[in-house]
Amino acid sequence: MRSGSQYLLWFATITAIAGGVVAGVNLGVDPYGIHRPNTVQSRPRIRDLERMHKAHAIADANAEALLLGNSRVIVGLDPHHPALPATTYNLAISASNIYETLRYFQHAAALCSPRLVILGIDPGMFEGDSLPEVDFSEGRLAVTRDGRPQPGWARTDLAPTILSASAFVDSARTLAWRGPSIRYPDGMRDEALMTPYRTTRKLLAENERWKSRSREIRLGDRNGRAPQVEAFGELLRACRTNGARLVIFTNPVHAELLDLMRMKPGAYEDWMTRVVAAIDAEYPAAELWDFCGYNEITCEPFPGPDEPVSKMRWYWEISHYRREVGDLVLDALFSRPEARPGFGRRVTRETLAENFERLNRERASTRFAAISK
Amino acid sequence: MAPVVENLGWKFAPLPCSPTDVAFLIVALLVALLAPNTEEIFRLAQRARASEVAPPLWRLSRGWSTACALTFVVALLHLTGVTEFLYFQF
Repeated sequence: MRSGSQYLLWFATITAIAGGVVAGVNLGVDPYGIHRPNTVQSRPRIRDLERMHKAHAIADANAEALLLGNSRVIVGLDPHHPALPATTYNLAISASNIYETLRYFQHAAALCSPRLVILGIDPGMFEGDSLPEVDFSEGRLAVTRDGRPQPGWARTDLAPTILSASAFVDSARTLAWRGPSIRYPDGMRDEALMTPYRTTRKLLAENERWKSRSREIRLGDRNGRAPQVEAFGELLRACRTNGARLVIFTNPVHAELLDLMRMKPGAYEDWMTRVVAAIDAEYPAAELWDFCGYNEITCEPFPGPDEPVSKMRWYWEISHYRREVGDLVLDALFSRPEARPGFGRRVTRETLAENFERLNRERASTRFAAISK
Repeated sequence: MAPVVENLGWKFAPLPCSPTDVAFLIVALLVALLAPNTEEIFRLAQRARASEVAPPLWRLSRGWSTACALTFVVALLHLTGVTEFLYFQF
């Protein structure tokens, strides 16, 4: 090699080849399931990048119905439940607050026309000081919060997912994956990702983690506003203006977690009262169902430390209910014959006080060994 | 040694990184200490003095072009990346 131009030509050639190999592998393997090739059967990395995956996957889902909420909905609500339209997508995202849920609904509504929205809520989603998680990006959503189109949204993840070392490493990890198939069918988290909680040690450790982190949920932020309650109002308006039927339900968390949520007297009642008030103000036709309570399902006993494997029927751990419970929720919401009597009830402004009395009554008279009095 | 050090109030804890990270750090340290630096590769200062100098390590060759191109691609691939969900935040 005698000349500088030959040197540079060789440099450009090697750069193009190496860059092309990386881009080709990342596009071909598509570890996050956003470029739509069908080359691999399992994409375990989606679990850590659900926000990115779902923002792109919903664009192809042509969904008539959306399931929204946090990880409880991702794990528990089956988009293929017989009560739901054929094209239902589980757009719930892990640790999502109401603002993120609003933004993903706006995104989905800009791409398809959902006629049914089922939203799972709990007080934690309304925490005043909560911020979007680090993997949330406004830029990858099809519209801004005030409804202006963002035409370049689909391109924002091109470079990070095609021309990046982290994507290349994730492609290699995807190809090397020998575990169970991870596919996120229509947005629902694969059960295989929850199987570690069949080990009692892991389950009890997770319970302790939740208990140690439990704190009073404040709806107001440090400026005296309640941003998540405001976002909830926006979400209600967005569903109404899009003509989507909205069904809201409280996640049927385990009774021990419900106890922690109701730790501060009146806080849970205040939260639900504000939810009902927002519905009345913004979208009175929306339904609210309460699945929280103290019953055979939510009071299911946890395994003891001497049982190596969990045989729990309804819960993975204290926070996440199994699909079997999610099915009962959907059965109740759609008045199917399979619905379990007494599990879930409609709540309106008129029945709110009665519902609180019911909770207190159930708590006081609970006969379930899992819950201490 | 451990009891003596602990008596001084120090505590032993697991390394906040994986064995792979430690291996990578060791390799990086060896590169930093033993590999020629930019000045040694190009000998720019010595050439400017126009004195009797050893030829530069770098020359117009396919090997050097390939090495530089691959370094460039690796740097390019680290300009961006995906951001993962952090489970400890909730």
